[in-house]
Amino acid sequence: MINLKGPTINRRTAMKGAAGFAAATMVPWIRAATLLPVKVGAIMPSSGILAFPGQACVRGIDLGAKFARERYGVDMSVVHADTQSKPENGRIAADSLIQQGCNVLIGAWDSGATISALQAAEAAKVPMVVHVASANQVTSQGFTQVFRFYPPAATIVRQSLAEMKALVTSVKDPPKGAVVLHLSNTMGTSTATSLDAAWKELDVPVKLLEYIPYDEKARDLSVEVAKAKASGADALVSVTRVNDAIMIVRECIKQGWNPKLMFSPNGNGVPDKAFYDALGKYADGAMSSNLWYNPKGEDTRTIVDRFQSTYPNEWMDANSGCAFEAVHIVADAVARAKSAVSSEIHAALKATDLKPILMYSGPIRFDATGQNTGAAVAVLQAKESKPHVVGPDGIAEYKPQYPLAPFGKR
Amino acid sequence: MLILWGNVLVSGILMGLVYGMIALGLTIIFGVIRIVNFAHGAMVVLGLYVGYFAGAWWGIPTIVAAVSAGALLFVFGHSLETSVVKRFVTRPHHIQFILFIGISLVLSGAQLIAFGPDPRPSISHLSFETIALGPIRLDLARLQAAIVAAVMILALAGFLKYSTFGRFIRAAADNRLGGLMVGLPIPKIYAITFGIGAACAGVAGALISPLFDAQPFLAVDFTLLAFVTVIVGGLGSFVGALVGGLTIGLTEAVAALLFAPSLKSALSYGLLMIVLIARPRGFFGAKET
Repeated sequence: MINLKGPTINRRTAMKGAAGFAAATMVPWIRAATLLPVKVGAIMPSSGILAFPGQACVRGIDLGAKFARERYGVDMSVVHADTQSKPENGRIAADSLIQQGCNVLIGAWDSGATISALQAAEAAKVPMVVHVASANQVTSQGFTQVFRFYPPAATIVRQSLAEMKALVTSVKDPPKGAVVLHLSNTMGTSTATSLDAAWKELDVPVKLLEYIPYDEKARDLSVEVAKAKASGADALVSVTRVNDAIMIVRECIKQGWNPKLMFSPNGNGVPDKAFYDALGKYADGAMSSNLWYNPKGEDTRTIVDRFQSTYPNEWMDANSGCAFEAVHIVADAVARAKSAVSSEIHAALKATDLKPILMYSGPIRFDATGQNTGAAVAVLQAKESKPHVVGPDGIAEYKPQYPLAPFGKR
Repeated sequence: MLILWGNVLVSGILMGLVYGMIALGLTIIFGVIRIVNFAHGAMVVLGLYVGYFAGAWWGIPTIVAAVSAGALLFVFGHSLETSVVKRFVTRPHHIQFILFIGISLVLSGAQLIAFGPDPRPSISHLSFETIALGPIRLDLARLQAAIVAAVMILALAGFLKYSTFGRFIRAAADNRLGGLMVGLPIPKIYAITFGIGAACAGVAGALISPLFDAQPFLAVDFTLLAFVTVIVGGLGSFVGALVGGLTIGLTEAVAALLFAPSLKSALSYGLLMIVLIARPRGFFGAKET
């Protein structure tokens, strides 16, 4: 017997069918119109001696990708690669990401690793946005694929020293002599060289007494700090990573050396949570000049609060902030290029003219060498176990504290 | 200038004793079992984590944490020897090297998974304290480590010389085959010796927690440091470990003062090369027969 009654179609079935039809027909259209897929390779020192900042960058990248989707409709899938804090691994990481189909790269925090990664990016013609890396060589070696958000060491140092000069010329009892403790790696040496030139050029009224370089993997800085103290300096200028910034302050305390001013142009420590976790009240007063988020920026509060809710045990620091901003730069370029093809993203990056979303900086524009011409530094000072902006005046949250309270009286 | 030299030399001596303590476990294991423990650094890092967590989570003093780390690492070392290492004692050296490199990588990987890659800086008050002897300042954390290193050496030397089991260990170190022939419990002796070596690494790790941030990647540095120290001092000698540590510590300190601080490591490895050429068995190593 032929059953003429077809399968029962009830209300739910009809609804499911309608939803399915809509999904099948409309979703590709929506995706095509609003979500542009792009594969971004992020090269960071996520493990090894630089894991602290590397992990912070990873957080900034991941949050930045979420924002990019919301703001620009760019469906950014991020592939992370770890250099293990070894400069030579930059190229290996970049090669691997390019082979995995990444259309654009972001990285690599460490100048050595960045230069190494840029060689692979250059060979494959894949653009690379450098979020952090200050060595002058990053943009002076003729790479065509580089777009560096971060200023070169020379610019940071010059801007930093200008701020430092403004401070020491405005106080009653300025420091008389300064000693420079700096890393002997690419970043440290490059910064120290720039420091020497800028110090003379700006005629900073503090005598530069001695340069003391030390190894990145130094386990102990007691001799270095003893030398610095013996130089008779009353200002300590340092170019450090976080771990050694902590070691230096500990040694100052142990050796009873109380500089009136502790200032780190282009150094880590003051901007990093680990510095406060390790030093507590002894961290207060130390200053550094870094790229930092603009505390008075339009979107800053929203982004910082979202970061805090996503990563309750961390805070938005210079590394997370620069990584976030780099994702913003890439998303803007992809949205303008309306393409995920590397060469078109490259062309869009070249034409970037963007107001920073988070960081304190002028308009982001890249010159012929790939350097962001708007990059600017903020001066930070540790206060009550947090970094606060104390300069330039337009974005300052507090007036700088000078001279520093002796460690024994804190 | 005199004060600077005084402080630098004292700092070098204390740091050297810390290095000696780090190397002690390596030299004990080699002296008795004749195997080179490439996982030594990873064991020191385990002790470092014990010291860190004991201080940061429960406020336990470093010295108490060191005893706990020693006990924990003894059990770990003993278990490792009875389950894995004993099968490799009579195997060729290159097989042993690969085994211990493997153990080191497994331990470091496990630490990475368990504790993450971030360095964990000590928040102990010892990290900031010194004792002033006139113009000379003694770092309390290093002083404590140096004193414990000296006490550990005396205790171990006393144990080996005066206890029955200590005599068994020395006999096994002198002649394994002879020991077996006269009925010494060689497997038990080796397991306990390996446990003692691991315990020394654990104690050293916990004691240096106010000085070094705890992180898995330090394992290689500590293994290399312990090697340089015992090769300069003489593999298998307790006194050699201390003298080797002192030599490295002082070389680094003086090099940093006279030349550039960034040359410290280069000069300590340079010293190692000189010792290898001029006195291959180190200052206190036994003559090869």
